[in-house]
Amino acid sequence: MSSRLHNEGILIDKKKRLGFSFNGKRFFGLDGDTLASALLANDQMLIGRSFKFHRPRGIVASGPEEPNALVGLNEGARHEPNQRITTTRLYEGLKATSQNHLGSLMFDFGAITGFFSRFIPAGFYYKTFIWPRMAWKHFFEPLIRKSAGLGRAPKIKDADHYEYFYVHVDVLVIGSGISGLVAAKKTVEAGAKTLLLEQNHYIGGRVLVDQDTLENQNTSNWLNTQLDYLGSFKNFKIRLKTVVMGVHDHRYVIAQESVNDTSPGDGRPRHRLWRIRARKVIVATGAIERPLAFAGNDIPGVMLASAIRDYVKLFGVSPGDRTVLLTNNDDAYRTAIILKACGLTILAIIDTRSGSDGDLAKLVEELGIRVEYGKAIASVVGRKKVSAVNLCSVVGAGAVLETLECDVVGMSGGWSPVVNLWSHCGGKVLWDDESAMFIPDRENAPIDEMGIDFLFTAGAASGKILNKECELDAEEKGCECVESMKLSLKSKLIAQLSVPTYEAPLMPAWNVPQGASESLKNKSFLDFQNDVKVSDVRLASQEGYQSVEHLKRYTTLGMATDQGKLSNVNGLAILANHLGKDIQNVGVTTFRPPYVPMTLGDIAGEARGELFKPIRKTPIDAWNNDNGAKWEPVADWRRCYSYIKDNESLNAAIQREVTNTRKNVGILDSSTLGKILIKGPDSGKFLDMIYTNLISSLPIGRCRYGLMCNENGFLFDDGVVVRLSDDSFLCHTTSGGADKVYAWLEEWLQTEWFKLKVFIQNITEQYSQIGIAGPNSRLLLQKLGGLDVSSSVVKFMDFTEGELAGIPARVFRISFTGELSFEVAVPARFGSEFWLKCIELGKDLGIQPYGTEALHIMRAEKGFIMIGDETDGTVTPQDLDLGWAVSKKKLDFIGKRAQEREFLNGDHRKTLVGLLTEGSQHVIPDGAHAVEGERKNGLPRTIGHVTSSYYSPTLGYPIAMALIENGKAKMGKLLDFPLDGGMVIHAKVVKPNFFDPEGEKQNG
Amino acid sequence: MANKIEFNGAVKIVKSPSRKLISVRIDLNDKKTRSSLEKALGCNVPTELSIVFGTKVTVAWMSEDELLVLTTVSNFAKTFSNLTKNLKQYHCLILDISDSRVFFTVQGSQFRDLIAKGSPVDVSVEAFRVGDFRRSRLGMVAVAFWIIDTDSLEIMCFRSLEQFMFKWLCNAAERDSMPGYF
Repeated sequence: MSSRLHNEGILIDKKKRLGFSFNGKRFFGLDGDTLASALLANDQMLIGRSFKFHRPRGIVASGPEEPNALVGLNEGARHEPNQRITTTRLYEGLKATSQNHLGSLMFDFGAITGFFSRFIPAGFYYKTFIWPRMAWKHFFEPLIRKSAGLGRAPKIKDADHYEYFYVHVDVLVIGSGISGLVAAKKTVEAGAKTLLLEQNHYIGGRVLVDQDTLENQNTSNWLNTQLDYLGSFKNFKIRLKTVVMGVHDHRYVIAQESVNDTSPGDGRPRHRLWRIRARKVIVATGAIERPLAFAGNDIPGVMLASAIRDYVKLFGVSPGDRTVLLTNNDDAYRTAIILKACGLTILAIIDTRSGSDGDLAKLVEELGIRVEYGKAIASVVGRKKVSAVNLCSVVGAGAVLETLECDVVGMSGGWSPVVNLWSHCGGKVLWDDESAMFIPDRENAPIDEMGIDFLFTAGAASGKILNKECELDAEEKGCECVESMKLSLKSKLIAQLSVPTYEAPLMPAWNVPQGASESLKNKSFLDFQNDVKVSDVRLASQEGYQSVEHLKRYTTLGMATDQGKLSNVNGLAILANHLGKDIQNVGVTTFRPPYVPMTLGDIAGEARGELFKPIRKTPIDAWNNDNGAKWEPVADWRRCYSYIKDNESLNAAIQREVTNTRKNVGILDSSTLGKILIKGPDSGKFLDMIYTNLISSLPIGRCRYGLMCNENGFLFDDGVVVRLSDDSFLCHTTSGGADKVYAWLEEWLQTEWFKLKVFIQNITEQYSQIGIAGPNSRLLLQKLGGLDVSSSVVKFMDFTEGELAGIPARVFRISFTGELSFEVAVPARFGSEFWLKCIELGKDLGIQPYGTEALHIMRAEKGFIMIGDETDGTVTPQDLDLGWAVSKKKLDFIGKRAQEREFLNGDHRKTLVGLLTEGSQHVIPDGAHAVEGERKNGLPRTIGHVTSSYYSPTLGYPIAMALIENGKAKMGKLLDFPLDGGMVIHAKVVKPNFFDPEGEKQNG
Repeated sequence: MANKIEFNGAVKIVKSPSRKLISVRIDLNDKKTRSSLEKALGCNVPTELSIVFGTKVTVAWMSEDELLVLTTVSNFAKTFSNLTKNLKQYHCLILDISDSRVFFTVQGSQFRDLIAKGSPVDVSVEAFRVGDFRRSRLGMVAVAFWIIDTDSLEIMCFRSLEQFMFKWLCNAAERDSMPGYF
C-alpha cells in the first residue's frame, strides 16, 4: 500500500495539515502536496475509470503527462471536470470526485460485465456506421452519447473571472530546470530582457530529484544561487505557475498563469492568459519518461519509474512497499537506489537488456539489489490494484518463469524530449536511433517573419537527457540565442556541474516480451485514457492503415485529454514494426497547442457578462432607457427598437408609433447614422468614383441619395450625400456601415487614388442626429425657433445650418418615412438637451418618439430599401429597381464594369417586388421562399424570397417586399410561399410602393 | 455636477474633465506645412508615435497625415482660427471633434499593468515613456493613451463607449488583480 514517509519530501511542510475530500470521503494531506501525492499518502491509488472500457485507473505519472488521474474538481459554480491531479495543488477544503463510472468507482457495472471491452475494437466508431444498419440509431448512438466525455460539464455559470496580460520580451525561457536557468543566465548577462516561465510553483525541474551529478553541491543551494544571481539583473523576470500553451507565428507565445490555485474564490482572477511577443524563445521543457507496453500495464500500481521517485523525494510518499522495476535503460536504476535509501523494498530490477556497465548499474550491484537481465514482465496480476508480476524471458512468447508478489511496478522505456513547443510553430523532428527518441531537427527550426530561427531548445528538450549534457547544451543554446540577437556574450562557457554519470545505452523495447501472444497484446495498453492497446494498432495496420495520422484517428491513440504525451511514440514505434518501416519514415503526428488543456474562461478573458461585447450608446441613450426602450443591436450600437408604454404589448407600441408619426409628429434617435466628412479640391471626383451616381454636380446646400457598390457591382451601403461647400461633402452612411465605409474610403485613397487631394474624417460621434417626421414636423421646428424652415426656404432635399432653440444645428430636409421630415444634427453634447426640447415643445403637436421598427415599417410602406434586408451582398442596384441612381454617363465608378457582366443582367436576376397577402391578415415570415414548379429531383423550385415583411398599421393589412426571379414580369401574379407544417401563403406581386406612391406627403 | 465618474481600485480611474479637440489632416512630411503648423500651434509638431505638450495645446501624432490638438475651452477659438489662418494655403482638413471623444485618467504607479491587461502595446518602462503616444485597443475598445507622469496615464476613447470603457477599466483595476509585472 502507498503511505507517507517521515524523512522525505522536499516540497511539503509536515506541520501544515490540509483537509480535503475525495468522493465525499475526508482525507488529510500536507501543504505542498499535489492532489495526487495527497491521495497516494492516503493509500488511494484507484482514481477513475478509463474512457471506453471503464477499467480501473490509477496514478501513472507525476506531472502534466498524466493520462489517468483526472477528477471533477470542486462543486457548483466552480466545478471543473477532467482536472489532472498530478498538477493540482492541494488546499484546505478541496473537493474531488472520480469520473466515468457506471455505479461506484469501486464497482463499475460496465467494467464488471466486460461489456465495453467486448464491443469496442479499434475503428469502432467507423464500423458502427456500417453494420448492422439499425444498430447505430438504436444502440450505438445512444450509448456513445451517454458515455461521451469523461467528466460532466458544469451546469451553471463559472463563478471565477479571468484576464489577459500582454508583454514584450527579448527572450522567453520556458522551464526553470538546469537548462532553463543556465540558458537564461547567458541571455540575461548579455543584457537581453529575459522572462523565465515555470509551470510548477517551484523551480528546478527534475534536478530536485535526479541530483546525482550534483553530488558535490546541495541542490537547493545551487538553485538558489542561480536564481539570486539572475534576480540581481534588472532585465530578468520569472513567473511561476505559468504553463506555456502554444508558440505561434510571429514569435507569439500564449501562457496560462494560475493565480489563485490554492485559494479559489479569493477575489483574484483564477487564471491570467499571458500573450507574449518574444524576439527569441528558448524551450527548456525537459523530457517525459515513456511507459512500456506489457500485459496488465494499466492496472493501478503500475507507474513510471521516475514518478515513483518523484513522489518519494518531492512529497515524501511511497507509492508502495514492494516495488518491481521494468526497464530498458539505466535511468530507472535511480528509482531503485532512492527506494533502497528510504528503506523500502525493491524486489528486483527487470532489465530487458543483456547487461549494463553504467555507473548506476554498478551502484545497484553494490547495494545488493536484485537485477534480472534479459527478462521482462509477461503480465501483471491484479484487478483494481497490482498484486504480483509474472516474469518471463524478454525473447519468446511470455512463458512465466517466476511470480513476484508486489504492489508497485515501475516502468521505464526511455525518455522523450518535450518537443511540443518546438513543433507548434513549424519545427520538424528527427528520430534518433541511438537514443531512441524524437529530437528537434535543427535544419528545420521554427522561423520568424524574417525567415530567421527564433526558437532554440535547451537541455533535455534537445535530447540531452543527462544533467551534464543538459547544462552544456543549455549554455550553447543560450550563447547562440545571444549571438542571433547581435548582442555580445559576457562570459564564456563554464560548465559548473560535476563529472557526469555514465549511463549504458538503452535498448528500444516497445512491447514486451518480444513475441508476446495475441492475448498478452490484447492486455498491453498504449493509451491509458482512451484504452488503445497494442492489439488495436496491430488491427489497424492489418486493415490497411499506414499513415500515423490515420492510425491516430482510427484507433483514437493520443486523442484523449493528455494528447498522447505518454502513448504517441510507443504507438507509432509499434506501427512501424508492423509495417516493417523505420520510425522516421512512419513519421509523427502533429503537435498542436494547447500543450495542456485550458479552460474556456482563459480564452474568453474578461469578455463576459457586461464586458462580453462593447456597446455603443448615443447621447440620448439614457432618456431612451428611462422611457421604455426595447433595444436592438445595430453593429456595436444599441438602438431603441420601440418605446413601450406601461402595459402595452411590443406590437401595440410599434403600431402606435407608426400611426402617430403619420398623423402628428414622431421623433427618432438616429445619432448612430454614419457621418463622414470629405474635403479637398478632388472631393467631387473622388465621390463620383465611390458612388454609382453623379455627386460632383450636386449644388452647395443640396442633398442627394447615393449608392455604394463593391468591385463586384453589388450594393453594400447607401445614404444621403450633402454638399457643404465647394470642396466639402458630408456622406451619410448606414449605422452599421459607418466604420466599414470609412475604412473603405481610406483604403481607396491610400492605395489607389493617392494622388487625389482629398482628406476624410469620420465624424459620426461628433453629432447627435434626430429625425423629426410627420405632418407637424415643420411646426415643431418653428416652435423651437431660430432657422427659417418654411417650405420656400428649405425645400425637399435642401440643407441649411444655423441655430434651433439656441443650439447650433444642421438641418437636412430628407425623408425615409415618406412624411414631411427633417433630420437635425447637433453637436453631441447638445443631443440630449435638443431631444428634451423637442419632446417638451412638441407636446401640443402630439409628438411621440418612435423606434427603429416603426421606421422600418414606414420605409417599407414607401418601398424604400434597407441595406441588409433587401441586400445580402449579391444584389445590384438594378435588381432593386434603383437603376436611376446608377450613372450611365460616368466613365467609371467602383462596380461599373462588374455591373456590365452578362450574369448581372437579364431575366434570371431576382428583382424587387411588393407582395400583398391574398385574402388574409397573414404576415409572411421574413425570409419565406416563393416556389414555382419542380426541380429535377422532384423538390419545389425556389424563385425568390421575402426580404421585408410587416403588418402596415397605416394601410391596415400586411405588406412585404421580396426578391423574385424576373419579378417585374410577374406583376399581378399569385406566388406560393410554403411554410413549416404544410401551410402555404399566397401573395400577389405588386409594385413595392404601398403608401402615397405619388410622394405627396413629404411635401408637407 | 452629476456624480463624479471614478473608481478606487489597485489604481484610481477618473473620468477627465472635458476639453476641446481639433483634428488636423495635412501632409506632415512636408517641411513647409510643418513650420506653418508649428507657428499656428506654438509648439513642435510631434514625431511618429509621440505627443507634444505645448503651453497652450497638446498635440498628438495620429498618423502620417493626421494630428489631434487638445486644448482648453478658453484656448479653443484662438487655436482653431490660428490653424485655419496659417494653413489656408495648404490642402488640409481642420475639424472640431470635441464631442466625439472622452478621456479617463489612470492614477497609480501600476498603470502599466492595467494597460497591459488589454493592449498589445509594449508598455514597459523602456519602451513607453512620457512623450510616447499609442493608438491601440483596451480589450475590444479602440483607444489612444499616453503617460502624464510617473504615476498617471490618460486614455482617450469614443464617446459612445464611455460607459463600457469605464466598466472595463474598473474591472481591470480591481484590487489584488494586478500582475505586478512592470
